[in-house]
Amino acid sequence: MNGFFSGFIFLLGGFLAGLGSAIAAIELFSAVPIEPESPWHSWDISASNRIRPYALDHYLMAGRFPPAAGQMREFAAKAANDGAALNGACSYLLMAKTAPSLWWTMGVFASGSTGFAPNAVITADTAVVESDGSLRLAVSRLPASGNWIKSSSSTEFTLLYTIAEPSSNFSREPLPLFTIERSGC
Amino acid sequence: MRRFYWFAAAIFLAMGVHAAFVLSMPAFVLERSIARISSEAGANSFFILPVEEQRRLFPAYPPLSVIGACAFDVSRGPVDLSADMPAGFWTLTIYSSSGDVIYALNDTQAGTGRFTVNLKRAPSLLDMLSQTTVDDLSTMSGWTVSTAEPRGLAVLWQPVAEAALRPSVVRNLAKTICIAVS
Repeated sequence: MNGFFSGFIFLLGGFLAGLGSAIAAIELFSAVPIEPESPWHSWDISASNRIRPYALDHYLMAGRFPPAAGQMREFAAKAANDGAALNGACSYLLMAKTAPSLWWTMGVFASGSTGFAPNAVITADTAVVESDGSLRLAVSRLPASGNWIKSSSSTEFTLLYTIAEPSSNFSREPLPLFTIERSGC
Repeated sequence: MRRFYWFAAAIFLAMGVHAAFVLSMPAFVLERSIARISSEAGANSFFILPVEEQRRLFPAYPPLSVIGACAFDVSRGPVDLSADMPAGFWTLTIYSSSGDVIYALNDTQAGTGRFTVNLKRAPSLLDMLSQTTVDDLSTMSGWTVSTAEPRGLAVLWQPVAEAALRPSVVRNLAKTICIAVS
């Protein structure tokens, strides 16, 4: 009897370990950093990716559909370039040396929310490009001049950057990413 | 020694649960989402996604975007999706019921805003051996997509720059037709 009880404990532990490791792998290891020092992460659901099932599950487990590989690419950042977590109490300046030539959107995604709040998103249709071709976006709680994205309350948030991918492999260049600098708290 | 066997069994169980969860649970979640959003319109019928569902299922897209969808079922025959998209950026993404993107198209790749996509079930190995595929029967113009999974979701998405333009984009997208063809 004692043997069966200890066996049950072992099997229960195995079941929980399998479940826990699956959830942890999906949430913690399915994203890949774009560059070693970059705060941007991406979930690659292309067929060539070895961890594709986990990357796909990242979207599906959240109850949402993944972007079409080869059409749209999605990047997420939970920290600024200095490594500190993005916080609604601070202001941030996002800069890209060259504005994306294809359609893109950048938004603030508050933890626990579904979708962007009003004014918390800017797109290629409404953003104004600098005269030198660069792009600057201000992320803050209070309105700022230029391209402004309203951040969430004082809680931590995630920046979600979605950009259309070039249709042709011949014109495929690295997608322009933004640096994230904290401008004040 | 008995404990070693139980430990080994626990390891195998953990591996099995891990694989089963990763491979099947998310698809189960997705199928429920598709069933929920298409419960009113039904299968093989095009509908505009309510803003709340849009925010939940496609949170990375701007709230002003317009998303239309068709929960297709090709188990009883092919399904045609016919759209007439206005100029500007748009995408068509066809998901299988397990969340795989089986077809994707945008305005640049399409070259035209007016198109028809014919969805049909991919022939099984038995069909291929017995030469009973229906490829030759298709006479429509457009694209043909074969899917191994009979059910899925076709999604048309178009961003909108200004709130005032959204109603007209919704009206235009709502004209899209998704219908089973015999």
